[in-house]
Amino acid sequence: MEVVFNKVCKRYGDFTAVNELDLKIESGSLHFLLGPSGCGKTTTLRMLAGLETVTSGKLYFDGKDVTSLPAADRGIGMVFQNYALWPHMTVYKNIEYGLKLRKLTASEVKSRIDDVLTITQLTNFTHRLPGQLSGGQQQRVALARALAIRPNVLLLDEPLSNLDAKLRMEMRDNILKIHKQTGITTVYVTHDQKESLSMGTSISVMHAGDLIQTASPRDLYRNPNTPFIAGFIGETNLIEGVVRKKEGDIYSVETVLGNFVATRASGNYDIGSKVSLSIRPEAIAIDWSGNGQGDNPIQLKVDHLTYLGESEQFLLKSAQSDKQIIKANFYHAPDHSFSEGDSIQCFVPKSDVLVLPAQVEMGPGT
Amino acid sequence: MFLKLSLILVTIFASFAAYSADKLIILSPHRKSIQQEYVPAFKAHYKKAYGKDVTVEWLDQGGTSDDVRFLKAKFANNPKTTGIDIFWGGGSATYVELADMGFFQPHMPPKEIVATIPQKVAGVYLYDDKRTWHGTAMSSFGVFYNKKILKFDGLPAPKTWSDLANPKYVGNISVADPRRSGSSNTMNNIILQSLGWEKGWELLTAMAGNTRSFTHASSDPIKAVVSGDVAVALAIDFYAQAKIGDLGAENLGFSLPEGQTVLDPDPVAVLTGAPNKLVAERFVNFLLSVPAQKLLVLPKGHAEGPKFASMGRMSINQATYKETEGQRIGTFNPFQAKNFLSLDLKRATRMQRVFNDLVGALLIDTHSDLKKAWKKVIKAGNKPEAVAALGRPPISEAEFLALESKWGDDVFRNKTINSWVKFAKTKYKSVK
Amino acid sequence: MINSNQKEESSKLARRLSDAIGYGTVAATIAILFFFLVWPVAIIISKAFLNDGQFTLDYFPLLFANELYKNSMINSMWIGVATTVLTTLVSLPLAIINAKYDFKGKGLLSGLLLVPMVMPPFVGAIGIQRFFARRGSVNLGLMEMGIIDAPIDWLGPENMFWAVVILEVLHLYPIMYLNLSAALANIDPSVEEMATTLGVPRWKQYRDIIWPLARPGYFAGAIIVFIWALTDLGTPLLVGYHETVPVQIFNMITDVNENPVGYSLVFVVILVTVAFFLLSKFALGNQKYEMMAKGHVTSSKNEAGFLGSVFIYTLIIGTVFVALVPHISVLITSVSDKWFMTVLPEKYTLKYYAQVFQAELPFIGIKNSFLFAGLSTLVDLALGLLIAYVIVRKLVPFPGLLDSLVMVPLALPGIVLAFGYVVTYTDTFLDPLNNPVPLLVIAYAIRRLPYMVRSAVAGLQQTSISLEEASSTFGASRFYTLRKITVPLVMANLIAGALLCFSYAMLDVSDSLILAMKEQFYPLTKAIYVLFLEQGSGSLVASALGMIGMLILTACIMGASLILGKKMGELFRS
Repeated sequence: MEVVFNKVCKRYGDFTAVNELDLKIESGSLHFLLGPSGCGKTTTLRMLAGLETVTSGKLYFDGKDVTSLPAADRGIGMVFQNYALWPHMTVYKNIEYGLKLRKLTASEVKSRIDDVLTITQLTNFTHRLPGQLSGGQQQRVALARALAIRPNVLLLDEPLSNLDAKLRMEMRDNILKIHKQTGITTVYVTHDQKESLSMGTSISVMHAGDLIQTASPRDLYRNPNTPFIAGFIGETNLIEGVVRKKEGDIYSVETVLGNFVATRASGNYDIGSKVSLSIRPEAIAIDWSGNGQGDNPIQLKVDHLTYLGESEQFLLKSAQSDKQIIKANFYHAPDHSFSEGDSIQCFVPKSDVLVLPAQVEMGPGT
Repeated sequence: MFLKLSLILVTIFASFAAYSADKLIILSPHRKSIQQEYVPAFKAHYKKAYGKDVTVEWLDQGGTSDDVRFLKAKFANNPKTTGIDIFWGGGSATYVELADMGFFQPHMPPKEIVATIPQKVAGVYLYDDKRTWHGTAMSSFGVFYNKKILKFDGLPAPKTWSDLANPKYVGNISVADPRRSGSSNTMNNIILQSLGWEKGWELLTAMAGNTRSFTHASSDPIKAVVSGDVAVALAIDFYAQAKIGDLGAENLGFSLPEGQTVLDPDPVAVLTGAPNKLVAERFVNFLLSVPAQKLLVLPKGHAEGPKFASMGRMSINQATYKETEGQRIGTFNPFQAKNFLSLDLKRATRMQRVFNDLVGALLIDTHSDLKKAWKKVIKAGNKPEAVAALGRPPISEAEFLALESKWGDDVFRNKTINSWVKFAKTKYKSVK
Repeated sequence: MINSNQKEESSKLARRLSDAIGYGTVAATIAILFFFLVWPVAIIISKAFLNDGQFTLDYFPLLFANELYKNSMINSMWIGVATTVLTTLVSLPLAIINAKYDFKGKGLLSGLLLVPMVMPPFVGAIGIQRFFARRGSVNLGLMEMGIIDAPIDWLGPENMFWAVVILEVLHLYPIMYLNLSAALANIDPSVEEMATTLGVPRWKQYRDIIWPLARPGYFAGAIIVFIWALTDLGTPLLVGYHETVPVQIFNMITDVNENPVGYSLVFVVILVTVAFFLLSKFALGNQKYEMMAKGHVTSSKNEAGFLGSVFIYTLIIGTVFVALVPHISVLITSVSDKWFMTVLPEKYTLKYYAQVFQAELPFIGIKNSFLFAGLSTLVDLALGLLIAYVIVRKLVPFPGLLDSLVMVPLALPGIVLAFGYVVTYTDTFLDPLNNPVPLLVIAYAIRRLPYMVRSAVAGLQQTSISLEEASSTFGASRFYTLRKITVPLVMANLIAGALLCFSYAMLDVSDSLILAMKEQFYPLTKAIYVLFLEQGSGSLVASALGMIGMLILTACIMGASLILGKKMGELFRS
């Protein structure tokens, strides 16, 4: 089922929780709503579920206007952040509940329950009460319960946030597998960018009630629209600057660390305009020759380093500015190790420098 | 099949018969003991006298004021009828008031009954001029006391109402709130009438100063005496006698104050628009007749006496006394009593609304202040001038009488009450 | 596909129907409130604004100008405050023990704690007077033992205030205890375990964690206790403390020549009650702390050790014993053959019990009371749950208004509602003259509605709304969800509320006296009243009937509290 948001707004009095949201979620995709807490992603999901009314705008399922359709009529399945398992019903009853409402034959109810129990590996727990289950098991019951009704759209609200790291990894695989098996259009809300990058077909990033960018994980990482996304998706170094020269797609930007040449930009920037440069930590490379070869040469000093095993994370300072701290990830050179205070000659390939609009002061909620 | 059919027929016939029986609906605050004596007796009498069965429906809402409120609501809703035939029981003042409001229809009993009941006995009216209501029994109001406590505290049994003003009894008297007890109210009226306005209030105030509490139910003072809370209570004769019967004359006693005995009739009336007017009138006739009156005075076990329990009340029918000479429970015969003070019932009823509010403001609602003041007066030697000052009413008798016509204005009424409360509080607090 | 569409359509239809029925029921509920609370009461209270048929506001300044009424208001307010504080002090430890500790005979003792709320009307007064009169059993006993020389005036003017407060506390603590217990049972023990792992000391946990979470339940109990103590007529009358608001109201509106200032005082009391309710609601009970993790609850009950058990037993039995003193005195009265100015009766007898069983009236009364109280409890369950749901889920505009409205019956003098019914429904098909059963059941239900609503509101506030949302995403209608999900989750609260409703309905006085006019419809309380009025040994027979009624009701309460304990266990301690 294809889901479309058309200028959907949600206001609580003066406060705008979701602002003019336009979004199309492809049928069968695993779509992520990503953003820091308070960005409006859960509100968006709840409007989609019909649990929250839409202040203005329209919502379509497969072209059909569902804006004012109550939750009960939307045919969705939802997994709540706290799972919302009914404590007075066994696992079996929890799953059976939605099926009974669908007036299915007894045998169909049975077979569907068996199906989802198998998928979620809960076959042995049918007669337990939710209170007797572990967190991961509860999460799977919530998922099984939502899947059993074969929803048009599956909505997951931070489904893994209550689990420990190891279980979280397992459940990610589980969800991906189930999504692949069922092909249900799934909308997944999370604040964990790694979760979204590793799982999503597409990702919408929200911030302070606005949807800022929708793209595939790869695209989002490579070509974020704003410094915020660049910083939120993975790690990056943001350097303020002013465009000094522009020849076709090649920009020359003056910063406190000197001039940078960049070949990628999120838009068209005039000479003299203020911009932010985004340079991923892994894009910074060491110039072993030490004589300033390569694009954008820069002399840096090791301020702090963290050993990570296969690599080392560096916090570096430039000779020019004490304030600007540069993060970089270096794989170990075969026979060289750095220590704090060392000077390193680095360079940044110009195709790894991305010109973004200048950073604006972040409002509350970031 | 036949059996079934005949059963159905019998049922139908029975219900038809029940339908054809005469019916009477009584509203009454009277207790069950009275109901259970009189209802069967009336039914038997009806069958015998009129050859028909009668069904009696007995309604009650708990107390006289509740029943009166119910009647008022019924008449407000439909001034023609309440659907009820008889109102029985409650104080005579209530009946005088309701008669004024047109709630009752007059009824003249047959000659032989009329001949045996005078309009007034021992100062008490037994029916009004139009015969809208008739007294069906009488009770007297006197002093009930706990002999053990009197002995403990070295007190004599009080003999007159004035005795109750004696500081010896301070805190040892229990009285029913005169606003809720007809007898209590009659006593106040009799005291005021016999002693005059100023002296009367002096006595009432001193008595109230001695009183431990004004109770809501008229039966509570008796319980206070029995449980040992006070030595003396003002009580209705037959309640007191019943307790004495239970717990022994060595423990409890009852006496009627000399010359100022308070008697109260227990009236009955046919309600306006009574759906069963004829039956209702027959019921009134029955209540006034000698056989019914005998139930009041004869002991249980006597062939013509009550079946369940002795009532020990007073009859209003002279013939009853003649026929029961020597067999009655009580020896007192109001028709032979002398020196009775005749209470001006009409005036008392007319003034009752104002009087209740005045008594409330001066004695009952400000009782805690009054008791403190009274104790100071006693401590200071119980000087006559101090007692007089304590009992001084806020208005003269003439002013009091003039208030009646204005009492329908509830704003004026409450302004006046407020000024009385203030007067009383100031008066009691000023006692040194 | 067509098949599944049809199915979807039909289930959608069923849902619409269910919603329509649900909303219809809500509308009916509100209509019932209008016709059986707002309208009859308004008719009566309108007298506060009428002088000789003309509109007036003059009574109110007059009311406040009268020192007597002012004193009464102050006294009643203090009675309310003192009773609430003391009730809290009594019930809090008991509720904590109930929620946190296991010990032998717990079910029985917990049930026993509820018994004092059952006090047969009218006869209780004799019992208390028997014991605490100046030459009553207590003083006589103390004097015989030589502890005192002169009688202590327990119920005298100096002690009236505290006598009223103590009697109220002993009578009302079960309400608080029930509400607190239900609230504590709803708290996820993991929040405490969490605090324990963080090293928060026990008392701090109670202050910072348990207390805020139990607050809605505490509030539910406290507001009822406060308003009850503020507006209770029976106890101040019994003690003779006349400078209190309920007694003044009673005096004025039951006077043969009723004083409309009485109704303006009723009006003021209603306003004060609503104001207090709203105020404390915002100050105390309005924060919603839902238990998100409900369902993960694992048992956290501590087994009480030997010393602990001794302490617990002493506390519970001590409390129950003190609270049962009036009942004990009624019991002794009912078996006394002759009891006059001695510590205990000289002789004992069971003849009054025999008299009860010989007469027809007691059986009629018991049967009727069960019927009326049972039906009214069902009505309360339905109305209370729906109203609470509508309030908590804000399904109507101004839910606070509705919430305040359902508290009004607590503040109403009994006679106002009952007489409002008489005036409103006389000569209609509901005329109590013909058959008072419908009006009696409704009157019982309306008067006890606040207990149910408060109890249910507390339960709903503690239940996470996402449990209901989850149900709606599965296609359940709102009211299907209410039935299948919400009701089971708040069952403990509902049972607690029903227990209060039933018990107090069994003990109803004003409505029973006024509406049940024919003997065949007399409930137990009116039967007691009728016997009580009889001269001679009437009050003793009434005591015997009171004891029988109390025993029956006690059995019901013990049974219900066992179920309640089980329910709490099933639901929250799996």
